Amino acid sequence: MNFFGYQEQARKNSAILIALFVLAVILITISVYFAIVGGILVSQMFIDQAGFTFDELWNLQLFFWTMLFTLTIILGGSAWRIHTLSEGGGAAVARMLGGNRLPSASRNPLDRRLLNVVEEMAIASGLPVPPVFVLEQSGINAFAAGFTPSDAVIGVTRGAVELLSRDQLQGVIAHEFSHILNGDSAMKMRMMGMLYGITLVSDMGIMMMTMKHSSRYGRDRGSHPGLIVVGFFLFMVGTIGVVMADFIKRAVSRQREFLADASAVQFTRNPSGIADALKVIGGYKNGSKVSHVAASQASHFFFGNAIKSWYAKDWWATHPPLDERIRRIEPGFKGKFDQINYQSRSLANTTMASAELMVSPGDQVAHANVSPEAVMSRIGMPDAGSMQEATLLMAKMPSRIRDFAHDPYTARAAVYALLLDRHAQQRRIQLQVLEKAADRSVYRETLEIQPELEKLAPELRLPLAEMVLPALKEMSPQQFKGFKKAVVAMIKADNEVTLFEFILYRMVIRRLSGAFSNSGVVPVKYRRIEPLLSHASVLIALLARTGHGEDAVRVFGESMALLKDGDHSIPDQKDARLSHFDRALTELNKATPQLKEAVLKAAVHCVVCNGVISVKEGELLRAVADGMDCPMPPLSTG
Amino acid sequence: MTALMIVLGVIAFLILYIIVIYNRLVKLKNRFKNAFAQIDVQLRRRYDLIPNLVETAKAYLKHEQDTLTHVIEARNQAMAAMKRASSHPDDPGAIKALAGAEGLLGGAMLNFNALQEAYPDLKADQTMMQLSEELTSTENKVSFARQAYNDEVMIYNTQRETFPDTIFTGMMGFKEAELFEVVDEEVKERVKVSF
Repeated sequence: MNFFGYQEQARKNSAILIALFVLAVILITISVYFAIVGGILVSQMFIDQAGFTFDELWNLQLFFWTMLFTLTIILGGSAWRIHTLSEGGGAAVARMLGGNRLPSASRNPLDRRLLNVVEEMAIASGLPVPPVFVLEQSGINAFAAGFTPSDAVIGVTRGAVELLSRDQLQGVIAHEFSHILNGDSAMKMRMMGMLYGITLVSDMGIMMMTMKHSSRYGRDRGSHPGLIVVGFFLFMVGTIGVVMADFIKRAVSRQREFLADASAVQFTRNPSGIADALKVIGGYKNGSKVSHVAASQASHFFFGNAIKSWYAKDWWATHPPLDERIRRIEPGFKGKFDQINYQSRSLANTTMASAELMVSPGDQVAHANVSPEAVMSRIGMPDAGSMQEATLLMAKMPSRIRDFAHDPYTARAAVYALLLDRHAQQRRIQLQVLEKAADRSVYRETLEIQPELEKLAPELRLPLAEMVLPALKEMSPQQFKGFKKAVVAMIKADNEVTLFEFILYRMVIRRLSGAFSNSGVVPVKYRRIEPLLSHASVLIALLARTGHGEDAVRVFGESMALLKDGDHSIPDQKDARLSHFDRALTELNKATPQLKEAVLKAAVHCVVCNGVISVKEGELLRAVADGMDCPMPPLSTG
Repeated sequence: MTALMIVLGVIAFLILYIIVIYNRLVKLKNRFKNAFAQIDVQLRRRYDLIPNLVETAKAYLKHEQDTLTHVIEARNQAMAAMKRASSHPDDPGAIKALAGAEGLLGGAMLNFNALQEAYPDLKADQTMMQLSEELTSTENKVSFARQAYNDEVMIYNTQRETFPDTIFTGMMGFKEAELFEVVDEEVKERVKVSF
């Protein structure tokens, strides 16, 4: 199966999730009803000293009220949760778990190592580089959260940062990236929102029992006895919801863990990385534990089992047992874990990480592979080749530019400088506009980095645009507004939007907007190719004209025939406006994974059919894939 | 029966509503606390650069020991204030103390820069030029990070004072957060330097 198949599977899992959710709501309503009836009958027995008959068990009016009460709580809770999650995106989950965002300019060696691993992995898979959050927990764990690549974040516990070697960390991060790529993170976000309502009854119970009753006269007192009784009652009934929620998580997410482990191996071509990380967890006394109030709500996001509870036996946990996971990667594993010493390991890792900061990654040979099948198979499923490619690209990136990209202050200058036109005339106009739109010091930084960017190899321009994202996400909403305004002003300055400007705008501003404003799963609107044909032809025509000149009409026809049999006429060159291109991408993103696959196949055919991919074609192709949320690893241009 | 249900319903609604308010404030509080981490990175960089700068200047400024010690002292104080503030960015006192210490350091640096004008050799020193350049750039980064932090604090403070949140904020222990504003010592210091 490929990327598109897994995406489709994740979507089907969402359907199962909804069915299970409805079932859980029905079960909870019934049990709440019986708990209330039981409570009333028991108290009556104490008062009247009388028995009861079975028809007393059924009271339609009471049932109606219970149903109204529980449904309001569950649906209201879920709706509210989904709303707040879509407002905050992946970062909301990370913050809820007590995570702190690592400043992308951090100079601490262990933090730097983590940031570098995440960055390499993102460049290798063609995803925008996600912000990294660290949870101050001694257990070894990690998670990926977010609806779309725009709002995705990676979270890692302090224990993992300090105890895992670079290779092990890479394995864990690759596992998490696979969750983003396969659409699991989006599904888990939905799941978290929905399940919140189910567990809310129990949470309310706990809150009532433990609420501090602060009086005007200073002292804190415990909760009112009456509230404690009601709270306990709600808590008991709510436990049904908690258990149901766990069951749903287990049913939906357990198999995906194996898939993510396997993808991590394929991705890094280093089975020992992730297997050893699992072994370290097994031999470490705190394991993968995360002690935080919100951990149980988010348990399905984590790399390993984050919580242990009385019913969380191996067969019931959200994650398969460690030795089974290791055995799937290393069939010979005997199930013996070595004891881990925190002090010595973390010291060794710090030393290694500091040493790593001094050396730049060595040169490796990239493979040129330009068959359409090879390009398609790598979408969303980067392999070791993509990893190598990314390391190679990163090694070519001058360190000055890298430093610029990692700081929210200078990252803006890097984007402005990328936008500057090659022609002196246009550039002068753009600079005049920038001087007015941006503040003076950033303007100076732009002028400073501009000569270096001009020398930058063309294939590094898009990876740079991916690299600046996490730093730019550190801006405040107001600062983002100003930045966006300056970018738009620069693009419009010369009254002509070039293709690269457009690509950059889509990659940077669209990705940032996803993080600064509401995000959410893009709903599927198209299930058939017919309504999409005109949009697809806009893209294919642009690709054909960019790469094939006189041959464009023939290549266009060939590529479109892959989508649907018959003759297709190429749209007029005059109609090839960027706003059409923009619309086409937005609409195509609303198609099912299968349709996206078909469109991308046609696009790839169009680019690759003559066996050569120019940098410009490559950029365009990756922008098309990115616009449809199908991350495409960098293409080798060899 | 119905009355009981309605009362229960109202209680449930109130509790839910309080949870909503509580969570929203926690979220905003986390955001501004997190924004402080950026200031922390940049300030640390700045505090690392200053001793290098002073060390380089020492060779030229044999008779100006006072100013140099002053800079180092101010830097050490600011660093101590930052350590306290970065573990409790929600403590208004800590932020105020840091802002004060930063103001003093800014003043000391101004004196130091004024000295440079009087010693052209020092000003022309390669290392010195490079370090000053880096320091200026770091200072710009600090103020950008500070702006981001203040924006987040403003959002939090506004939400905190909005009805109905404001009824509960005291009860839940959400204190007003302090803006990180460094007092501009420029005007005051310039007088001192001019004699």
